[in-house]
Amino acid sequence: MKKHRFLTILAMLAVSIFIAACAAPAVDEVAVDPVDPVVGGGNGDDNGVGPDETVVHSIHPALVVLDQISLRYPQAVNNPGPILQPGDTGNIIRAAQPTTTTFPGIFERTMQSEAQDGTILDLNTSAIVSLTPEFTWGTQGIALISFAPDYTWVQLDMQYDVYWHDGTPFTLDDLVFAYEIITHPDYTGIRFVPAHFFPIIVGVDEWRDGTADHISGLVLSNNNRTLRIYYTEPLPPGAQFGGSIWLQPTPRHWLEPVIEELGVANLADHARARHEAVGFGPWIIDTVVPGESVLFRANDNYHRGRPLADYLLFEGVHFDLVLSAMREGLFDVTIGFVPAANYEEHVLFNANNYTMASWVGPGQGFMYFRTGTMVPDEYGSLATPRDDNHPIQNLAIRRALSHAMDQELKAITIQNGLSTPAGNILNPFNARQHIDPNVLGFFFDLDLANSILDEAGFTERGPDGYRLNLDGSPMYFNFAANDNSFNQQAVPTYLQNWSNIGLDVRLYTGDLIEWNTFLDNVLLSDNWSETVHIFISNWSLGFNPAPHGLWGSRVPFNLSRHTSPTFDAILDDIASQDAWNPEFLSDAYYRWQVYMYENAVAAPMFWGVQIFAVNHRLQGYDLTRVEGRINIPEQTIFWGLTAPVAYVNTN
Amino acid sequence: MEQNTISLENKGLEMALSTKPPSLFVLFWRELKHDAFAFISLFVLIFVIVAVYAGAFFLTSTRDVMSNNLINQNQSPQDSGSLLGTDSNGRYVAPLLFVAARNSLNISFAVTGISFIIGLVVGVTSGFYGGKIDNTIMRIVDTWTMIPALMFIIAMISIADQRTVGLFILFLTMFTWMARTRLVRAAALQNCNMDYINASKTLGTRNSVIIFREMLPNLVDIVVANFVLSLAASIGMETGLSLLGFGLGMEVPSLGTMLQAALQPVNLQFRWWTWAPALILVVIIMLCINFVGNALQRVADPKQRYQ
Repeated sequence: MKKHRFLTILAMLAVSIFIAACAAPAVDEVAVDPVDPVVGGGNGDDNGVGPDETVVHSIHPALVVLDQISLRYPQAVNNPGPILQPGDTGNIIRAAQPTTTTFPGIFERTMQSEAQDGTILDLNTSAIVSLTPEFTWGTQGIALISFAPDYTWVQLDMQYDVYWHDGTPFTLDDLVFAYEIITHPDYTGIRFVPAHFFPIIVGVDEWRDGTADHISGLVLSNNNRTLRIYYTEPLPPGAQFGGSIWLQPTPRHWLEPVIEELGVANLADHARARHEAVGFGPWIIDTVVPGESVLFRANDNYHRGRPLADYLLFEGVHFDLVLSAMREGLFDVTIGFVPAANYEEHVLFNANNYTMASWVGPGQGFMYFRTGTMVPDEYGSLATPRDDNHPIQNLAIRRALSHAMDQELKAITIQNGLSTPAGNILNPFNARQHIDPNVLGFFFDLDLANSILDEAGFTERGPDGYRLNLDGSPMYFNFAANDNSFNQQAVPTYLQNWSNIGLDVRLYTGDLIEWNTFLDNVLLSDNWSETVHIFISNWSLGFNPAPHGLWGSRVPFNLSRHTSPTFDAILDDIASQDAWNPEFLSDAYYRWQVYMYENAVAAPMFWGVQIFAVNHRLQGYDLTRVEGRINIPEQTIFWGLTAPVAYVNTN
Repeated sequence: MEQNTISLENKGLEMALSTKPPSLFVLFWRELKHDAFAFISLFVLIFVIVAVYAGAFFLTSTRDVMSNNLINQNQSPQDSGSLLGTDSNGRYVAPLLFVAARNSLNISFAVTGISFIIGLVVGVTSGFYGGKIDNTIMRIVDTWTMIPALMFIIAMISIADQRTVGLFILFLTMFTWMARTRLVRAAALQNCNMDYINASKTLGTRNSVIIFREMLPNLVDIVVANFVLSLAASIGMETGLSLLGFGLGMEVPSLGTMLQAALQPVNLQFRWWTWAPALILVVIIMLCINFVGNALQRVADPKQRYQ
C-alpha cells in the first residue's frame, strides 16, 4: 500500500531521523577515503587529494554504523497490565503528532500531499491490497492482486465485503473513480505520475482528450468485484513492490456529486474531502479541529474487527513540547517520530512514564540544488534546466557545496548520535537491497571542496573574501529551510561551512521559513525557483527503492528539477523489462548511485533511526513488520486488529 | 511711603521677570535627589548602555561572535571556562549578549526616535493649525490606531522577502507614531490657546518662528519624559516579536532571539546560562528606563514634581 507515502513529504521531518554515534572505525573510512573504486577513479576531480589506496567494501560502512545505532532502542515495547474492553471508561488512545505546523486537512487520497494529512488518512482508510514484510503485494487485504504472465494487465479480486463509513458497500468501482480523478485533465494534485503507471493505462489518452466517457483500460466485472487494469506496455519489475500501483479507492457515491458541483480541480475545497470524509478503515473521523486535532471513533463494522479502543485522538504537538507532553502523561504515544534533535530532552529529564521504541524508518533528507524549473505540458509538467547561467548550474560548485557540509559533526551533536552521515543517495530503510558499498556519498573534506573550486576556475576572490563567478562578477546563493529544531542549529553551521570554502550562501528571507510557506513556494511549486538555489527537504519515503518517484523528470517531487538523457536512460533501465534480470537491475541501481554522486544532483543528509515515545499505559506497541500492518508507526494504531495488541489501561 | 510700596512691588515684579524658571535638568536632578530608585536606575542604565556599546565596539565583529562551533555546544560556564558558557550552536553567550543588547538598543532608539520625529511634525502641525487640518490628521491617526498592530506586524514580517533590521524598524515605527502624535498634538493645542502664542500671532510673527522658537521649547519636557518611557516599550516589542519568531532573523542576534532558547524545556530547566543573562538584561534595562522615565514624567508635570 501506500505508494503515496513513498513520496509524501514528511512535513516536519525536520529533525529527521538520522544521526550517528560516529566514532566507529567504519566511519573513519568514510571520512578519510575520498577515492573509491567506482566513483573516485572516473571523475578526475580529486587528483592528489586523499590517500591513494582504495578500499573495497563488502558492506557499506554507513550501514554498519546504522546497525549499531538501531540497537539502542527496541522495535517493540511491551507493558504489562490489564487490557481495557470496548466501553470501559477512559478507553481512548491519545496520539501526539510531533510537528511545527498545522495540518492542511485534506482527507482525500487523490488530493492530499502533506504527511500529517497522510497519517490521518492511514487511520481512516487504507489501500485495498496488503503488504508483506518484504513490501511486496500480500494476500490479507480487501482484494487480491494478480499479474498477467506478460505483465500487461493487473487483476484485482475482492475477497471481503466492505462498507464505507456511511454504510454504502465498497466496490472496485470506487477504485476506478480514483483513477478517473487522477487522470482527469483538470486534476491539479500530484499523483498523476509515471511512478503509478497512470500514463500507460489503455485508454487514458482518449479519456484526457474527452473523446471517451470512461477509461477503456479499466474493465470491471458485472458485480464490480473484479477489476482488470490493462496497460499499453508491460509493467516493469517495480510493479511488484507494494504501493507502486495506485490502490487507494475514492468513494464514488460520496464525491461524485461534489465533482459535478465544483469540478475536479476544486474537489479538495469541499467538506466531503475534508472533515466529512468517509473511509472504510478502522477509525471514523468524528470531530476535526482544523489544523490541530482529529477525534476518531472506532468503526464497529471494520472488516477485520473492531478496534479495541473506543476513541483515538490525533493531535499535533510542537517538536519542542512533545516530550514534555509525554512526561506529563497527556499522550499515550507519539504517532510520528520524535525529532532526533529533541532526543537530549528524553535523556536529561529521564522520565519514568514512557519508553522509547526505534526503527530505521523510510525517511530521508536531502540538500537540494535547484537547477531547473517544472514546465507544464500535456502530461503535467516536465523538469527543464534553467538557462540563467547561475553558478549553481556548475557541477563543480554543487560538488564543492556537498563536500563542505560537516554532516558527521551534526550527527553527533544536533542529532544526538541517532544518525550517521548518509552513505548514499538510497533511502536507509531499503538501502540494503541495491546498495553499491563503494559509493560513499559526500564525505566532509574542505580541502577537496576547495580544490574542486580552484580547478573549475573559481579562483578570484572579491573584497569580502568570497569567490567570484567565472566572469569575475560577484556570486551568491540563496538558501532556504523550514523552521524546526534541527535546522535552527544546523543552518547557521551549513552557511559557515560554505563560507569556509569561499562561497557566499545567504539565508533567504533572513530566517527559517514557516513550513506551509516553504511547502507552497519551494516544494510544491516553482514560485521561488529563480531565487532559492539551495534548500533542505526531508521525505517520508516509501518502501520501493525505485528512484522514479523522487527523481523522475515528470515528478513534482523531483525537487532539484534535474534531468538529462543519461539520467533518464538509467531510470528507464531500472523500470525496463530487462530489469527482471536481477543482475541488470543491480547494475542499473549502481549506475544510478554513481550518477547521483558524480553529478551532485542533491546531497543526501543522514541515515538514522526514528524514535517514538510510548507511554507505559499502552500495550503491544510494535514496529516489527507483520503482514497486514504496514508497520509505519502510525499503523500500529490499528492495534488489535491482526496481532495481539495495544491498549490503554486507566492506570 | 506710597512711593516705597510701588518700588517694592516693582522690585518683586522685576525679580520675578529676571529669575528664569529652573531648567529641566535642575528639576530632574531635584527629582532624583528625592527618589532613590530613579537615582540608582539612572546610573545603572547609563552603565549598562555604555558597557553594551563599548563592549560590542571592542568585540572583533558580529561574524565572529555569531560563529558556530557545534563541538562546544551547551557548555556550562564552568565547563567552557568562559563567563556565561555557550549556547546550543556553540557560541559564547557573553560576547553574544553584548552584540544582541546593542542591536536591541539600536532598534529601540531608532523606533522611538523616528516615531517621535513623525509625532512632533504631525502633532505640532495638527495642534497649531487646528480646524480642518487637525480634524483630518486626527481622523487618519484614529483609523491607523484601530489596526491591530501586533497581528499586522506579524503578518507583514511573515510575507517579507528579506527580514532586515531596517524593515523591522519600519514596521515597528508604523504602529508607534500615532500615540506620539496624539501626545504632541494635545500639548501643542494647549500651548496654542495660551496668551504668549496669541500675543505672538497678534504681533505678526511668522508661524515657523512661533512653532520652532516659541512653542517647541515648551513641549520638550513632555517629549523627553515620553521618549524615555517609550524606549522601554520598544525594547519590549522587539524582544516579544523576536521571541515568537516574528522579529529579527536568525542571523541578527538580539535579546529576543537569545530568549528563544528558553522555549526549549531542556534549556529552561538545565541550561540557565543560555537564556537567563538575556532575560536579566531585558528586565534591568526596562525597569531602569521605567524608573527614570517616571521621574522625568513627574518633572514635566508641575503638579507632580517635587517642589
